[in-house]
Amino acid sequence: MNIKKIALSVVAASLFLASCNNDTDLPVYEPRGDYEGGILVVNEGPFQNGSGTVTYVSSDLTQAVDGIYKAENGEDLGNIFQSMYLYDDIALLVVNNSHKIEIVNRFTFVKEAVIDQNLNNPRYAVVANGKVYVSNWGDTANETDDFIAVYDVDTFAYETSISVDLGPEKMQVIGNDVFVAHEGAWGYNNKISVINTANSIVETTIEVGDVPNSMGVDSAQNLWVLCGGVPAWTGAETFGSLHKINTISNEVEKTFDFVSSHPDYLTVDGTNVLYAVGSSVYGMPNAAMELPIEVLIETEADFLYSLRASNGFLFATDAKDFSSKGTLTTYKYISKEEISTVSTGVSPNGVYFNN
Amino acid sequence: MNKFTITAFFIITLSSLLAQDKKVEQLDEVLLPSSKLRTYSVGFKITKFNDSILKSNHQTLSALLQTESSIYFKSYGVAMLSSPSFRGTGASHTAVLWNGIPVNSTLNGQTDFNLINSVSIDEMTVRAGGGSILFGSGAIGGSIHLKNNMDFEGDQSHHLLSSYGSYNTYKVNYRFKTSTEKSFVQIGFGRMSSDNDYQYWDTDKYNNNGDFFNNNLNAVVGFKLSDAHLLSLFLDGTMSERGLSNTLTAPSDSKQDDENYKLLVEWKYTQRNLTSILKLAYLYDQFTYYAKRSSSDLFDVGDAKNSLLKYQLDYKFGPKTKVLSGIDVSFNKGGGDSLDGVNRSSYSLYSMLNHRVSHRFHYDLSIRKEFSDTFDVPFLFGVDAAYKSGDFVYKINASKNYRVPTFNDLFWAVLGNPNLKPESSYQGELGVEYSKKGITASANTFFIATEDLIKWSPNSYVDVQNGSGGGLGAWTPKNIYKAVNYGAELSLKVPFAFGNYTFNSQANYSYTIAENKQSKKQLLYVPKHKLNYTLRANRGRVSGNYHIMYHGKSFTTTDNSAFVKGYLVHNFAANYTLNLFKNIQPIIGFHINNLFNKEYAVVDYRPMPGINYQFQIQIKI
Repeated sequence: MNIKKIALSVVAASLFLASCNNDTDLPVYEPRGDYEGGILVVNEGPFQNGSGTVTYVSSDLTQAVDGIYKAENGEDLGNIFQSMYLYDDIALLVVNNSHKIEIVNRFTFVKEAVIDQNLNNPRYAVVANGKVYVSNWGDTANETDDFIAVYDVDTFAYETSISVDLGPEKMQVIGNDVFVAHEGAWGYNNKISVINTANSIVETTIEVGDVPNSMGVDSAQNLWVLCGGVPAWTGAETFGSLHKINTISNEVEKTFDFVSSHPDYLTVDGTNVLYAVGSSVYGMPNAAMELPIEVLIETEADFLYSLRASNGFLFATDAKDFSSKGTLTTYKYISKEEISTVSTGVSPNGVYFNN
Repeated sequence: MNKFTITAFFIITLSSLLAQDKKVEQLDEVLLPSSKLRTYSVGFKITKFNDSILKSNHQTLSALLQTESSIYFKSYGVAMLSSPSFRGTGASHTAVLWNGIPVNSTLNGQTDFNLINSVSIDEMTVRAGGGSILFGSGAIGGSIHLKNNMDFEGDQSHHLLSSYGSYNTYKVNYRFKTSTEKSFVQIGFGRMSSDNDYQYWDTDKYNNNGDFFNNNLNAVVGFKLSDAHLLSLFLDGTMSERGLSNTLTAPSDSKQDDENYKLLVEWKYTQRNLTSILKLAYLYDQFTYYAKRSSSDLFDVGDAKNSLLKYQLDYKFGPKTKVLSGIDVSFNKGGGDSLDGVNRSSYSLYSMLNHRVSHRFHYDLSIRKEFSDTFDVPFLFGVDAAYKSGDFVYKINASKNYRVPTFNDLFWAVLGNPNLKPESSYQGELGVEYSKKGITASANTFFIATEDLIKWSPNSYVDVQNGSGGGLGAWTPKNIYKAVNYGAELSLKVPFAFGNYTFNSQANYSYTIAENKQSKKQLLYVPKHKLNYTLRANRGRVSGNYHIMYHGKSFTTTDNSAFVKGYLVHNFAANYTLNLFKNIQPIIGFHINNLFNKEYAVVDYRPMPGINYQFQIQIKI
């Protein structure tokens, strides 16, 4: 309920202000679509043959409807739905194995456009400075053809491609910069590229630990980068690390080393930094000097597949066996109270707030 | 998750088949290489497809079996991987034997029926039920026996079959055969190729990366050294290239090439009470997977070399009792990018007793033990029996069976799990067969409990802590589930005639429950209901076949929340024998597949073709 109330009040307030400029009628709140104000879950879908789906979860967390893209558009979204980016009133749906980005109205989920040119294994998209930036692995067998594709956000016209280091994955926009984590695609990498959106040039590269798998920004505009380390089976195992990066100087201010584990799913909620090791969630304040020892929440997920913290809530998805419906479980993470669990699509890998 | 794609190429392979026209010949039963199949399987349901069926109007062996048996094929597309599955068991739970030699891939445990050209065989026998004692690893659901026959009748023949059809599909099969009283030589060649670019239903998508060709060359040579000694040589080579089809949601630009070579030398000695058979075989399988066919320098190669020795001694202790004892020795070696230098050797001892208590009652007892340098294989035992009463034969069998882990499961670079155990199963079956005036009917019920089933699944943190291969999230194989299968099969065959028309009507129905024992959910891609019907009609020079195939829905997720729709497909074929010359009577045929242009897929998001046509001509001299 809290999220919905906050969302509605923010939306109502902005409408009220906007309306007041133009006329003197009392503002009337008109919902912009069936999916406004709820939570959207990205489900990759079955691995080999099939389609990813979007699950809509009502903001009171009681109802979940899977497959809203297909319901609204009468077609499958595509194979391996990797990620989503919400901007203005659109949602960009990045479909890795179909090599395309579907653009829908984020509140109605009606399709508006598609980007299917100049993409090759697209992973994540962000919008910054009027442009869409899309991380691409290129051909998975080729380690030197990775790039960021750039499009105009209004026309979706292709502008350019920025050649980057191996394995660009998640991206974070801070001011006029796009921070790209090079997780390493099918290999391993340890860099953050910083793209200046004024000229679409990689202006600097920050070295971090091996396999930067997730990022977040705290209330002081620090970029937090969590690195999982190189898996054991490579024979060159390294363990995880967490980095706090000053985004003015682009310097790593502090590094936390994990002694013997491979953490993932960093999420930052104001001044709180949370992440997972296996199915256990850990949390600490952004001023902490040491990594936490105590588990904050034991999710009991069969296969924890994403975390997202916001306003004291923690959303965790469980991909289970990757070939059946997953779940979304919500907690109040300070009180460690579990609030609800709802069903999602197959392999839920991310949670987004549609308000 | 794409990161952990351990690849399409585990599961892909393709091809086609073609049929062979040949009169059903009188064969010297003593000379059949695997006549033990019936003798020591009195309590099993055995269905034989002879050459005249193989030559009938199906484009591939998998199409034939899908249409005319209870076997399910998880078919990824027209020329894509298509592996048989009996009674809801897995794709690697059917043992396929070629002239008595097991030919399932050492790499993935399966046999791709789209890589077997029917020009290379003369007879196919389907044996439902566990058969590991006789046939070794993999015969959990059943076994399929591909065989070459030979005769010493002193004649000579040429047989040519050629066809052309939709999607620029053509095939040419040729076979030459000659024999004397002492020797037999047969050489065959087959080629099939297709653009295979059919439209995906009413979408704007086409199977635009589905083109393929395959070539087969085979030879059978036999010498009667004396009345007692027969020396035979069997050779078979298949080479195939196929694009791996795009799905409804994902494009594809990948390709797979396969090469399979088989060599078998057999020495058979027959005496009044004794048959001794020694087989020496060498099998070579290689695949090359191109992630992008345009980048021909980027590929993965895998291969397996298998050397086998089989010796069997079949001894008759009197009119009622026979004992078959045998030893199998095999040495397997893997190679290529992900399996370099791995190998495995094993030997097995087995023995079976066939006792004909009376003309009404026969039974078999059997045991087998395999010794392997890689893992412990369970001791196997089985019993089966048949009892005849009037027009009815009652059959019963029970056995323990197994499947050894494949090289991919055990040794795949880094992710393979060398600690895997063999899968093992107990199975039982009750059946009754009725036969009178050409009408045959059968009803069977079966039960199979399988444990230590191997599944590739992502490592959890617990797995990693326990030292399982790969890192967190890496997909690795584990012995992690149990399955229970049970169900029933019914079949009915009725010949009849109206005036000059003769008909043969045949129906098969199967009901299959295959559940994960823990979750109680139906396993993936096991339709509960499967029904097929064939009507053959003949009048003089004209013949026609009509086939109906129904598959019920099959689930695609482990929680049974999603499924592929069921489908009903009709095929039709007509043949006419031309009377051109005295000794040359070409048969021309016209085949229509998917007569009602039904939109269907066996595997989700992989459409099968709509209505399509073939024109065929056969000449036999």
